[in-house]
Amino acid sequence: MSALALVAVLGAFAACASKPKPTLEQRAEAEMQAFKAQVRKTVTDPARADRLVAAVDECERIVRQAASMAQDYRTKVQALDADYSATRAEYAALFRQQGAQRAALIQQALALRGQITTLTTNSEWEQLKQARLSALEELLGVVSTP
Amino acid sequence: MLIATLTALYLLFWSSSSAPLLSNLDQTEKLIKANVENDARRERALQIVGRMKDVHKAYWTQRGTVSKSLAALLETRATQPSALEAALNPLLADSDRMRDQLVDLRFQLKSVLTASEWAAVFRPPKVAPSAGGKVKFARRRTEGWRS
Repeated sequence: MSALALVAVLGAFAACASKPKPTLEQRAEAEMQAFKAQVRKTVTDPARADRLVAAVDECERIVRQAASMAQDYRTKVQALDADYSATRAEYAALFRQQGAQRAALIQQALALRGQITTLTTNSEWEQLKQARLSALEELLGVVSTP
Repeated sequence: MLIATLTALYLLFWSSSSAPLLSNLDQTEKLIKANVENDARRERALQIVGRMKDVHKAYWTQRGTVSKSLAALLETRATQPSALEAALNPLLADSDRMRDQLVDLRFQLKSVLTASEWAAVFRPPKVAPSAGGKVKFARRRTEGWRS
């Protein structure tokens, strides 16, 4: 390897090493923007594309709300677990509250998926269904595993 | 569309009630061994944690099956919301049963430990529960037994 090539390789390596790794939030935002661009490229009817992009935004909102709900519930369970005098009635009240929140979010998620299927053709659905929003999936994975 | 993301979302619905009760059982076991001096009570407490671990294993087995079945339903464009709901409801009921089983075991454990032993084994959360707010994209820290 020539000296010049070696300098170039070392320079590239140094640039990589000094570049900060994007946060999960930054990755999520970048993925959402890229996916919305993919939606507009796939769905050529601008009116349907607009509605699908709005549905994607709604999907993100539901994901964040579900993750927030799960995290808050986890903290409340942990507080009851740590309390020696906690009663079954207190657990039952927490479970009722969590169940109601979960049911409401499920209805929103079902409606959203129904809306997305209505807004896409078979061919568009096939093209878009494999898209990955790994940052959102990571967030959901963090709060759904013990 | 977004099948993996939607599957992760529905999997969260499935797991959200029981998963928080299953964390850090190894740590619980370790703290019981370190803090419960009475042999008989310590053994009894460890047996109960062992049963919690059995539920943990069942959770992971079921999680894999549930994930596959939800993904299959979600990726089929023709699946109607009512069909999805009908498939999801029994899964949620199973998860809630698992949760109730864990709470029963929690109260069995309480009957074996003293208040001071309990305080040494189970730590309160460092962050107070909130009513909502924006999700922070930070990996959850594991602390205490079921953090």
